[in-house]
Amino acid sequence: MASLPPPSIERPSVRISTTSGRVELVAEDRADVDVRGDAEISRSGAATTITGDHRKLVISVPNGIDVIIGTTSGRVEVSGSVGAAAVTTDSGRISIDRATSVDARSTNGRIEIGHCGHQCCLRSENGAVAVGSCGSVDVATTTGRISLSDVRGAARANCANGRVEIEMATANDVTAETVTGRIEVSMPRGVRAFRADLADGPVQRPHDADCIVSTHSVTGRVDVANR
Amino acid sequence: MTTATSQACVGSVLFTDLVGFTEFNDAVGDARAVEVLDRQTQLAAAAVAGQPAARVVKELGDGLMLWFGDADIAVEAALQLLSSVESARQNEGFPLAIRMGVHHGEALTRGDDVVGSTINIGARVADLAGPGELLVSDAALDTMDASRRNELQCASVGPVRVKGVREPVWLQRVSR
Repeated sequence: MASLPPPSIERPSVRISTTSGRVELVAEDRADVDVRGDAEISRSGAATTITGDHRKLVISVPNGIDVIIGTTSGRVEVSGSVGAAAVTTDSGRISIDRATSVDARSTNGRIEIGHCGHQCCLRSENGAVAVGSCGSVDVATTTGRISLSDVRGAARANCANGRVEIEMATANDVTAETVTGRIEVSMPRGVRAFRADLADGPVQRPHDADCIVSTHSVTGRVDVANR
Repeated sequence: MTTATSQACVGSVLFTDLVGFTEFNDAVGDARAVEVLDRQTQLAAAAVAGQPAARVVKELGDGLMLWFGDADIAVEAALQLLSSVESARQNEGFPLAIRMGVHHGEALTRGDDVVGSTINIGARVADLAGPGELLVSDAALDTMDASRRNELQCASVGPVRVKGVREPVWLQRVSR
């Protein structure tokens, strides 16, 4: 089975599961995994599995380790620099300082990503999503506002009822879709973006365009501009 | 517990949801919204047509619940439906994306309905999917034929805690 991106048992990884307790994970210059709080800990190969309950966990891990975290309602805070990060929560807020790739999903909690080096996949029903800088990005919310800065790969954003703001750092394709929310796309100076409406179907990039910005909103305003 | 009106069964549940349907309905009105629902139902019916032990159990607002005898059929139908909706979006102006979740386990039939923890977990799996995305639990993937499973692209999404369920449910984002 192919695995993309791979928080895997072969790479050093920490796999954390709690019901409702807050999870604070700190990546730092160290070789081992340290857990403060009541939890069951097991190890298999390079993977450390930590199972908590409703109480807070503070976990220190080596820089660059892959992290997989699942909780029902606790806040998840990842500081320092980790490898591939996958986080799910029902209603807790998710914040990740730095990661090579991110898959983060929340029903109601806000998601904040400082820097994601490569692929960034974010989902929230009602929470807002904010990304400081990233490679390619794929974000979907229902009512949460989407704010993406310093995007250096292809960007895709889907939001039913919230505002979408995308600030591109490079000439890559953008796809943004809302039902009622406003869409604002900002391209770097000098980039020639070809604008298309998603409702018109797929389009070919004209020879004189650097990228395609495909948008559609049923009732929301759409603005695409160079800065 | 099985009663005179319910029977134990094992299979896979697939939940679908049209992303942004409530807002779309509010923006365009009921008549256009019903057209979209009808088209989704047509596409889902086509995806399960001819498959053994596969059926649309019920409509749930803007989503559907489908039941399958095994996960191989469920995942195949889900990928086909995903492809059909994407094609409809590009070629016939279908306005919304679909998201889906699959889980596998024991359940109880109740008339034409299917109920139980497996169903509750399946609904939660779909809740976490994004537009044009299929999430499948490891419980479902583990029951699939190995050669079919190897044809899929799977990306770990991690453990999901479901209220009332003791063990975390591990999910994968699945595509062809």
